This record gives sequence, structure tokens and C-alpha cells, in this order.
Amino acid sequence: MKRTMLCTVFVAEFLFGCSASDETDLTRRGGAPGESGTLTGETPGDGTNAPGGAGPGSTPAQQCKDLSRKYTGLGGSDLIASRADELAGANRARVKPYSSLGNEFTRVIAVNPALLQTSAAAFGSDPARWSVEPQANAVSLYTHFRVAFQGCLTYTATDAKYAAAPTDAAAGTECAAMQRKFWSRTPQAAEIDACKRVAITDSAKETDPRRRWAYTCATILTATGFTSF
Amino acid sequence: MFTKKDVSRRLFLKGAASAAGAAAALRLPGGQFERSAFAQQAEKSAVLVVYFGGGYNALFPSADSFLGAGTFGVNNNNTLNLGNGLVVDRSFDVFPAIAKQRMATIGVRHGSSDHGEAQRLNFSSGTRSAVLMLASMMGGDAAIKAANVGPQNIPGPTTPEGGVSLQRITDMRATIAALGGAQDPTIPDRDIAAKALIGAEAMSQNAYAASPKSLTSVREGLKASIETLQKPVRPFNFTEMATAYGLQATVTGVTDDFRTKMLAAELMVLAGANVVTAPTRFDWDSHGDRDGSAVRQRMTTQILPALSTFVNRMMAATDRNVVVMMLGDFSRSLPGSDHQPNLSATIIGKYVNVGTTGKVGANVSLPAGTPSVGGMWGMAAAAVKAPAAITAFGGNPHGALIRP
Repeated sequence: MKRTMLCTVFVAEFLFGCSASDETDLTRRGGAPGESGTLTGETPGDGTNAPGGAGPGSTPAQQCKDLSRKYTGLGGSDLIASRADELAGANRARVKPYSSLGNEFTRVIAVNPALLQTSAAAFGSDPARWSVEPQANAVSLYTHFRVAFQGCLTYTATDAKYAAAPTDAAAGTECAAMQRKFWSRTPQAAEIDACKRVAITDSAKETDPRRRWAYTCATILTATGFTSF
Repeated sequence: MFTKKDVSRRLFLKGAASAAGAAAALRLPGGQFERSAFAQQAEKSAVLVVYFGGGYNALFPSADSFLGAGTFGVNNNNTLNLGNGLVVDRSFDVFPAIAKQRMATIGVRHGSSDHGEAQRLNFSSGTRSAVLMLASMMGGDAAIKAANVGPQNIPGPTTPEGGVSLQRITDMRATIAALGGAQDPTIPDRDIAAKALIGAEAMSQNAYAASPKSLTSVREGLKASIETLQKPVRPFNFTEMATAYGLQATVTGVTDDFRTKMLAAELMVLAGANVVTAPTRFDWDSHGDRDGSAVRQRMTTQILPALSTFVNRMMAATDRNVVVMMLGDFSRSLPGSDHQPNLSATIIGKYVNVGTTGKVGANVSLPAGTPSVGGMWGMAAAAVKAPAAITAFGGNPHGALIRP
């Protein structure tokens, strides 16, 4: 988890070209000690190269454009014009890639749903030897829900606590437990309430109690707590 | 942010869809489908944008520009005069007669010979997505109003417009399931599934707030998925559709096989999408193709068979107005088929007049005063009779190419 988080920080900073600290700024390749470190065509930033990335008079709202060096390319083009700008620490969540979902489902519900194996195209398979940042869409998310539902049917198939229709008390307990397990964090009250609504109200037309719990389980697995990292 | 207003809006959409019966969806009953019966309704418009990654040689939309010098291998035997000054490559003869009577070339003087910049310009209106602006302003009640078919994405901005986001379609079986479900006990009940996804959406609000940009695709995808599940289901004959494009009904992935892209495009048009984009691979950056043989061969074998099938089927639907646009980064310059900082696009549609505002000079240039990208999208908006979009794009400077 910690390594994953560190990797995420590194990759996010690389992608967005922003650094909150001088040590991880990939753009500041200085020359010999004492040199300005200016590369050909490079225009130094606004003198905000102090460690931590915050120079005199900086505010908490500073973004990459305030901290990073400017680079001018051929024909006077601005080489960082298309660089995504961002506040440090924001927009850290990323969609889990399809390749990880089998293991993820197995980790939380001990099932790798068969439908997942035949759904690569729905999630958009990457070209060979190439990595593409995963992006969700209507079809991939509905497919994800179907996959989760299939897995949850197995997850709720035998345990006695899923043999009875969800009650307010049971839904509150099971929602909190599933959310904690699937998301690896303690859920908030509003999240538990949203889950309870699915269990008690939204799935009421389903006559099989286990399928009602499976819908509830699948809903939690389709929330960003599981679909993103 | 999820609010009660959003819930009310969804219920309204569901009710409106049920009342109007305008949305189309698909059913997969044991692999077989029933042919749908379209109800009497107002003409439904849609735009298919075929984008040639790397460029769109002007020998196709402006063939006569090269007759004099025979550049790009153009001669009297491989050109097709459609009248009113429009002469195209003879490979376009594969289109049905009605399409050739409704075809025009549009000049786009965007001024860029850089792939990235030209691609961005072609799909932008300022900082906004031209595709999504058009899709939003065309209205309708489809859950997915803008779709991109295949493994490639269109360039340019993709920020949603008016609640319309661009949804990728990469698997038709999964799309069919989302649009109409299947007779399979493991398939969730559509009504419950829609409510369950609303629940998932509610559980995701904190994450959205912390990552409003990086989770955009999740936020917009869930929203579109919910709305899709709330639409009524109607049966379609996927086997018949696949056969028309020369595909087996078991082929459902949308790949670089252009037939699958056109099949998926038809699927989404019939499901109510306003704009469908079908970008190709970056195969059309045809440096060195001085006689045009490479692009002709690629167009003839890879693109036109499926595209002409799509045009033929869509133009035969009397209750629809489906416009097809063909464009690329830019035209190819002389002598080496390199980058020309302007583009001549092809447009086909029920309300398009035969003619051209994109006839290039012998040196592939367009005259000063030729409209830029906004004019192209204004023309597209005019072709689908979307007045709000015409205004948003700054009007249609190609008015002579529109039939009343």
C-alpha cells in the first residue's frame, strides 16, 4: 500500500509536471554547483526554486505554473503550454486498470467473476506493450457492475446472514462491514445510508433475499472506493 | 455534486422517455434479435465524424485541383464529377447515388501544419469540445448523446457540455447489455441496477470532490450508465446488422477493423446518439505518397466498403437525417505529401447541396478568406438543423451548401 501510494505520487507528479518540493521536481536539472541550471531555450521561473517549491510570498493556492520552469521550443513554442496544472495533493484518484480487477475482486470477495474474463473489450484493452491511463465510461462501468453482481451472487450464496431480507439494522451492519472491507477504509455515515437505501428500498422488488444482498454488494463494488485507487 | 435536483431530473428523463418512446435500446434474447419497428416520430438527426489520423489528402474531396499537373496520380480516369464544381476521387463512386447527390467539400483554413495543434483545432471551439457542443445542442433524450467508437480517442477537449459527455464504445456486446439487457439470470434487473448505480454514485461523492478532474470519466460514465438503464428497451436485429457489414454476429469488439467501427456507429445512431466519432489509427500521415496510391488503396480497401454500407443504410432510413463528415488533420502538401496547413473535409447529408467551398489550388492551398474550423462545425450544425449550435459556432459560412 505504502509503495503503491509512493508510486502514485511519483507518477502523478510526472504526469502533471508539478512538484510541491524541489527534491522531486524533474524539471530542475541544474548544472554544476553555483550555476543557474538553465537549459537551452529555458526561461527560469519566477524565482520560486526554494525547497518545498514555495518562494517568497507564495500562497497555499499556488499551482505548477507558479513553481515550474518555463521551456521555449523551436519556433518560440511554449513547451509546457499543454502541461496539466494542478494544486499539489489534488486529483490523486485514478481508475483501476482492467488488468488489476481480477485480483481486486479476489482480494475482497474471494471470487474472480467469470464475466470479467470475457469483458476486456468493454474496458478498452491496451495495445500490446503499451500502457494507456484507464478511463471509465458508461459501458465499462455497467459491465463492472454486472461483473460485481456476478461475483456477489457467489459471495452471498451461503452465509446464513444473507438468507433473510435486509432490515434496517442488518443493512446498516452489513453495509458498513462491506464498505470497510471493499474500500479499505471506514465508510462515512452518508455512504452507509446510500448503501442501506439500495439494500432496503431499491432492491425491494427482488424476491430472493440473497440477490438483494448481492445487489447491495455490487453497488459498493461499483463505487469509487473500489473502482479507483 | 449529487443532489435531489439530479434525482428529479433523472425521474423526469425516465418519464419523458417512457412517454415519448423515442429512445432505442437492444435486447439479447439467447443471441437472437427481433427486427425493430420504428414508431412514427420526428426526423432524428445524427452526425458521424470519420477522422483520418494523420491527414486527409485533398485528392479525395478536391480531385480536379490536381488534374492539370497530374499530381497525386490524379487523372481523368480516377476522378468523379458530381456537378456544381465538385470533383472527387473516383473511389467515392461506391457511395449510393443519393449520397453522391448530397455530398459537398468544405474548406477549412485552420493554418496549422502541426499534427497535435491541427487535431486540437479540428475538434475545438475555443477551449470547448465542438463535438460535445453539437451533441448537446442537438437535444433529444438519448442517454448517450455523444459516442466515440473504437480504440482511438478523438483529439481535443472532452469537457462535458450541457451534461453531455463523450462515451467510448469498445465492445458492442457490453453496449447491447447496457442498452437492453439480456435473458440471463445473472444479469441484474435493469430497474434495480439503475438504482444501484445511483447508490454507487452517492457513495462516490467524496471521491469526486477530492479528485474532480481525474475521476471525470467515472463521474460522467456513471451518470450516462444510469440514464441508459432508465431508458426503455426495444429489440434490434444485431445479426442482420453485423451481416450487412460483413461480420459474424459473434464479433462484438470494436477494433481497428473499420467494419466494426461502422457497425458500432450504426448501433449508437439507432440508440439515439447525436454525434458519433470514429477516429482511425494514425495511418494517414502519408509522407512520401507522391502519387496518392497508398491513401487510395487504404481508402478503397479499409474505409469505403464499410462507410458506404453505413451511408447506404442510414440514408435509406426515411425517419432519420444522418450526416457523415470525413476529415483529417490537414491536407497533404506537395511535392512530398507532407503537411499542408489547411483541410478540405467531405460532408454527406440529406440537406447538403452538391458543391464545394474547399477546392484547393494546384499547390493544395485554400484561398484567403476560407472559413476555419468554426465554419466546418457551423456547416455540420446546419446539416442537422440545429440552430442553437449554428449560432454557437458563429454561423454557417457555407450556406450555399445547405438545402432548405
